[in-house]
Amino acid sequence: MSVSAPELRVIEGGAAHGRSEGELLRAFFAGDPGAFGVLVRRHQETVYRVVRRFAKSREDARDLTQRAFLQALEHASKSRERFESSDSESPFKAWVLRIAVNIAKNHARDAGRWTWAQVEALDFQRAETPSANDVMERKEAEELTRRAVLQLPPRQREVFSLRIDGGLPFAEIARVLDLTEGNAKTHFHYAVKRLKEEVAKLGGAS
Amino acid sequence: MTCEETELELSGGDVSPIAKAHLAGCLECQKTARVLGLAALPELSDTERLMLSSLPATIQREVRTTKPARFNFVKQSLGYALAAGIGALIASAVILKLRPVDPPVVQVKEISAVSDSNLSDDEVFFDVGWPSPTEGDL
Repeated sequence: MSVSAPELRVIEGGAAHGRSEGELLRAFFAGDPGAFGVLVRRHQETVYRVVRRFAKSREDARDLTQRAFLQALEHASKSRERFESSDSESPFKAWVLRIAVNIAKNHARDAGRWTWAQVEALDFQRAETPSANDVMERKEAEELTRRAVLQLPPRQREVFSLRIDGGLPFAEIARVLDLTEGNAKTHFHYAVKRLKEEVAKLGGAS
Repeated sequence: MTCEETELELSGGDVSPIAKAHLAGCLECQKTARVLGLAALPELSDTERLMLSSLPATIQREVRTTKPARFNFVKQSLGYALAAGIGALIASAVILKLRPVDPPVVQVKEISAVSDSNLSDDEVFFDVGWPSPTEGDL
C-alpha cells in the first residue's frame, strides 16, 4: 500500500498585509480572491465611520460600506489596464471614500430623513457624575449639532465628515474630493463657523 | 498660534501644548472645541466591530457571485456577437424579400408567313390567294 505524499500549499495572507493597494488589486485580477479581502479589511473602518453619520442604523451603515467597496471594485476593474501594465499605484482608498461619500449623500436624500439612531452610549467623560438633567441637555445638544452637520452645504459636509468621522489628514481629503489642501481647510473652517452659528441659534452651545 | 490653526489641530485629535495654552485663554476656540465634541459620533461599539469583522468575507462572497455578471466580459461579448449575427441574417432575408423586382420583358416574335400545311380551313382563310378583280383579264 502506497502512501501519497503530503500536499504542500502556500497560504496567502500573511505577507499580503504589507502589499500596496496596486499589488493587491493586480493579485485579485490575476485570480487571488483573498487580495481584495485584505483591501477591505484595510479601509473598512474608515469607510464605515464616514457613512454611518448618514445611515439610519448600523445595519444600514454596513450595507452602505459594502456597496462602496463593490462599486470601487467595479471602478477598478474598468481601469485595471492602467495599473496592470505598469507598477503605478492605484488610488483605491481615495476611490472607495469618494464613492462612500456619494452613496451616503444619495442614501440620506432618498431616505428623506436625517436621523442618527445609533446614539446609544454617551461618549463624554466628566470628573463628577453628571445629573440626569445634564445628560438630557448634552444629548439634546448632540442631536441638534449632528442634525446641523447634515444640513451643511454638500462640500462642507463632505470635508467635515472625512475629517471628523474618517480622521483623514487634509491632504488626503483634498485627494478624495479633488480639491487643493488649502481649499479643503477653508471648507472645514466655514463648516465649523456655520455649525457654531447654528448651535448658538438652537441654544446647544450655551 | 492663531484660532484657525488651533481649530485645525482640534479637529485632528492630537492637540499640541501650544494649542492647549491658546485654548485655555480663547473663548472662541473653546466654543469650537465644544461644537466639534458635540458633532463627533460615538466610538464604534463592540457590536459594530463584530459586524465589521465579517464584512470582508461577505464582500468576497458577493464578488464571487456577481463576478460572472460584472467582470466576465467574454461571455457577454459572445452573446452580443451571436445576437448580432442572427439579426443580420434576418435583416438580409427581409431586404431580399422587399427588393424591387424588374418587370418581366415579353419578347414577341412577328409571324411573317404561315407555312404550316396542316392548318385548318379557318386558319388558312386569309392566306388563300383569290385572284383580285383588278387582276387578270377582266
